[in-house]
Amino acid sequence: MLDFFTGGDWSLEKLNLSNGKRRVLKLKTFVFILLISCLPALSLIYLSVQIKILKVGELIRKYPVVFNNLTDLSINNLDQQIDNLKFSFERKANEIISANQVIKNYILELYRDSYFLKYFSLFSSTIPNKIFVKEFTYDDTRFYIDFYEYGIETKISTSTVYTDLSKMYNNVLINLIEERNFFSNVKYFHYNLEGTK
Amino acid sequence: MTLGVFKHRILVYNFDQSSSSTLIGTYFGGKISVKGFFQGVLFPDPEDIVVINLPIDIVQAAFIELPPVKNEKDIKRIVELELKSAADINEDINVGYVKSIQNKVLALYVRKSDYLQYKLSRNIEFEPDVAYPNIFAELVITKKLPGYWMYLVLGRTNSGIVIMNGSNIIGMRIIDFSLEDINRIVKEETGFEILEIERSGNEELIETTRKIIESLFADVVGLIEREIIISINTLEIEKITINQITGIALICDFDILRELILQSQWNFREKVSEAITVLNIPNKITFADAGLLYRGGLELGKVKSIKW
Repeated sequence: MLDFFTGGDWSLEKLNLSNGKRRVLKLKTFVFILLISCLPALSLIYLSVQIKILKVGELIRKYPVVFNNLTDLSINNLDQQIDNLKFSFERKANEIISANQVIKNYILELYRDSYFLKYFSLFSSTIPNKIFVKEFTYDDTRFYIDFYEYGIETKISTSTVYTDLSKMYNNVLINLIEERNFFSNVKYFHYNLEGTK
Repeated sequence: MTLGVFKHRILVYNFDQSSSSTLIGTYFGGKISVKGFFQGVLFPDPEDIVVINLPIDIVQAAFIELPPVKNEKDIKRIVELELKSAADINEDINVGYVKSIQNKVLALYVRKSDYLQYKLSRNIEFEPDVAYPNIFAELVITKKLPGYWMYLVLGRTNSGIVIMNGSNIIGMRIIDFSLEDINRIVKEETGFEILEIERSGNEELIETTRKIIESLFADVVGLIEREIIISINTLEIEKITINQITGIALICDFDILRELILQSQWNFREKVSEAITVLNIPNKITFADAGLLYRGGLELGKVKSIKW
């Protein structure tokens, strides 16, 4: 039954017989309240500006090349500028990579020009048997060596020579053409070795 | 500057006292601290909460049954219309109401002309935030107890009996008795007001005052007994007998008179007890002042304490 009365202006605490005064705020108080209510917003704006400055500083530190090469800092053509910058750097990088490749090829070529010679002189000086070169030709693309090995038995492993030289040259061939007794138990072994660049 | 934003000033003009003074309090976070009395009428700042008392003789009351309307504005309009037609009033009135039982309210109203006349006579040119009637000022600060209780308010210029069931008012009677009359007699005899004597702690003066009041006591208690019976017998909206009353809460500023009422032998003595207040009141201010201050504080929010 009493539910009808719960809440509202019913209680003694709400009783008022005045004409009803309009509550007013003085300008000073109003401005003060306004300032206080603006404070969180202002501090947020300040914070965001600070964070922005921090981020920009970080970016400048991280990518000095980009910022040093920017001519105009207006937002509108910043994207375009950065794209251009990116393309020019990419082009430079590609140029360097291709130049590097050219130099690499050149060095490799040079190396190939003399590698067979080095290799041959190395193995002929490491094996105990004597080696006599009969014919040695090289025409910038193809080398051909015809040689004899003197000894009781051959010390040349054709497969090793083949694999070693195949790393640098194409069409590597090493053949034992003939094997004969020279005198007593000393034999000679006739080989030829060829390959192309 | 912080005044008005965090702290608010409450000014109470209680014209019941013989000398007019302004009670100044500040409200901060539910706590009212009393700054003291200012001699005369202090002109308020626009941001101050201003509370004035209304003598009960310009306030009229009537029980009104309401249709089940929820909207506060509608209720206020209905109460106003009902009052105007029931009492045949043609002029503007200021209306307030307090809940009663069975869809009824105790409507209180003051004619605008009376209200303005009263304000003029007290040199009040500004509109107060709250105009609060006597007796209710004392009642608002009193704890309402469950069951049928009688609240016997002996005020400075007006006295009355309010019969309540819990927090619902079921009857109200104004008594033609004022503490100011006793105060005047004491002042003529001793040269001091009763509150001054009580606060001075002067045993001799207090004893003299007690003797003066004792000599008047038979009349006072006779009047109270009679009014208690009349108020019970003239209940309009719910008929109850004196035996159904759980107790009578006495609200009286003068300690000497209160003690006499509580200690002497009279008809309803065993039912009477000292009223409990909703919060502690500093002993330098009266029940009515505390009630008006409390009511002013409620305009700003909850009131948890009143301290001097």
